Amino acid sequence: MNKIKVSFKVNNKDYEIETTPLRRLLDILREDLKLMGTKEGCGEGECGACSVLIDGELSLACITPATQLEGKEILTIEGISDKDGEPSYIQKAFIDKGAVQCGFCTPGFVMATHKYIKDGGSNDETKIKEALSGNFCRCTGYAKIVDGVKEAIVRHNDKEAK
Amino acid sequence: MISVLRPKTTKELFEILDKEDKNYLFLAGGTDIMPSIKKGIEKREDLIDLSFLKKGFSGVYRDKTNIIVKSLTTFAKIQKDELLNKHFPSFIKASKLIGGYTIQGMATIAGNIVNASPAADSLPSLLTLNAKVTLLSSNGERIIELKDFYKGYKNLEIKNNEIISNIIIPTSDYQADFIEVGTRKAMSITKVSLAYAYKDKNIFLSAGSAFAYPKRLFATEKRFFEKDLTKKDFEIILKEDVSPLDDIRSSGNYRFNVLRNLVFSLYQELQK
Ligand SMILES: Cc1cc2nc3c(=O)[nH]c(=O)nc-3n(C[C@H](O)[C@H](O)[C@H](O)COP(=O)(O)OP(=O)(O)OC[C@H]3O[C@@H](n4cnc5c(N)ncnc54)[C@H](O)[C@@H]3O)c2cc1C
Ligand code: FES
Ligand code: FES
Repeated sequence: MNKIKVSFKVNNKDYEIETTPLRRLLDILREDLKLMGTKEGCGEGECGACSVLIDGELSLACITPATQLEGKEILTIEGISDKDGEPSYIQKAFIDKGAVQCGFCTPGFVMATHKYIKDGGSNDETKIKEALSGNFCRCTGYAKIVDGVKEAIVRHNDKEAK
Repeated sequence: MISVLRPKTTKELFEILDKEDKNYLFLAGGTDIMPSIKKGIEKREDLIDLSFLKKGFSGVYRDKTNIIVKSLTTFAKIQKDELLNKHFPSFIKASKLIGGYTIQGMATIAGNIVNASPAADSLPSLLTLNAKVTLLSSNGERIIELKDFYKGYKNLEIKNNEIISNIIIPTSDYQADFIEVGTRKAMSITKVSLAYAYKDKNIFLSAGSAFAYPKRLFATEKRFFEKDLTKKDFEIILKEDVSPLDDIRSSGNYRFNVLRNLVFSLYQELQK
């Protein structure tokens, strides 16, 4: 495969890399940038473990090729930690509501929740389920995750009110 | 060896397409292409990345009689669009069935149309809304009906030097909706859907996951408002819409029977 140069931002930091055009964003994050928070589950777009935001849109790093990254702003789970590795309020809400068991799916769910709250999502259960419909969890059953999202919305609103 | 070309403008794109008569793969959202390459289902190795053109080919607008969806608009954008929500709620409902929210942020409408899967969720709805597609090449545009875009299994009315630039949906006062049976995850096997749009004694029908490729049910449409039809009658009528090429038999009669039941229930409801 021909090599290409691509420039993009990850969590507000600039990168320029040389790679093959169909190399997956997932591999760039994990192998080149050593950002291990984004997980590989199915590798085929089905499970959502690799969810990140690209230019504000929820996207799957396992099916996003390098060629499509030019000029893009990527946000990963590492980028939404509150400060210096401290878990974000979403992660804390998930933990408090028992929405985390093995934890493998959690980064993906947290990214989906971040996107949902950022877009002004309400605690309407149907809407929450729609927003999480691309993410799968083998452990928890979804009820606790929905509780986690609702709790995160409450904490987000508290933060905003302050 | 896989090669990826990255045109920065439409002019550059058409220079590539006019130079060599090749059946390129256009990387739009990549949600079909990337998994298919990985699984070895997609063997074509010449790709053109459309991501630099995305801005120009994304968005929804209207003219006097149509709502126009530019080809690289994602389903996430489609779902948020006010014009589409106002005029075509059935199409919005269909687009929400595509994959999950993650896929919807990436998947484009042109990708869904060209993928031409019998299970593609947006297509039955678009077919009953009488959508058209604009095919763009260096020679200009040609507009064709979506129903004529599908000529057979994996046989599409598009030339190697063309891309889809717009999807045109005429506004109308037809009532449109669709019914779906089966679970969403089981994409290919158990899901069957029926999209319809009707007004007075006119109806447009199209089924999802029932045939080898997306199509309208013309024979059934013609006879749909006859009086006192039975389930058995619909079985006979629907068979006229099934061509020998359709792989409906491969999954037994299951999907055909589900489709017949869906059509018959709709018939009963609209007779009232
Ligand atoms: C996990 C998963 C679940 C899915 N679930 C569903 C589902 O429930 N329902 C459903 O309908 N689909 C589903 N899909 C399939 C897919 O997401 C859709 O078909 C999507 O709309 C494809 O769009 P894309 O932009 O990603 O296409 P791409 O993968 O980029 O391209 C697909 C095809 O379209 C062609 N193409 C793209 N743009 C153009 C253009 N402008 N002009 C001409 N040709 C073009 C390409 O050459 C290629 O052949 C799923 C996919 C995945 C991975
Ligand atoms: S690893 Fe990307 S969706 Fe499963
Ligand atoms: S907590 Fe284990 S997969 Fe979700």
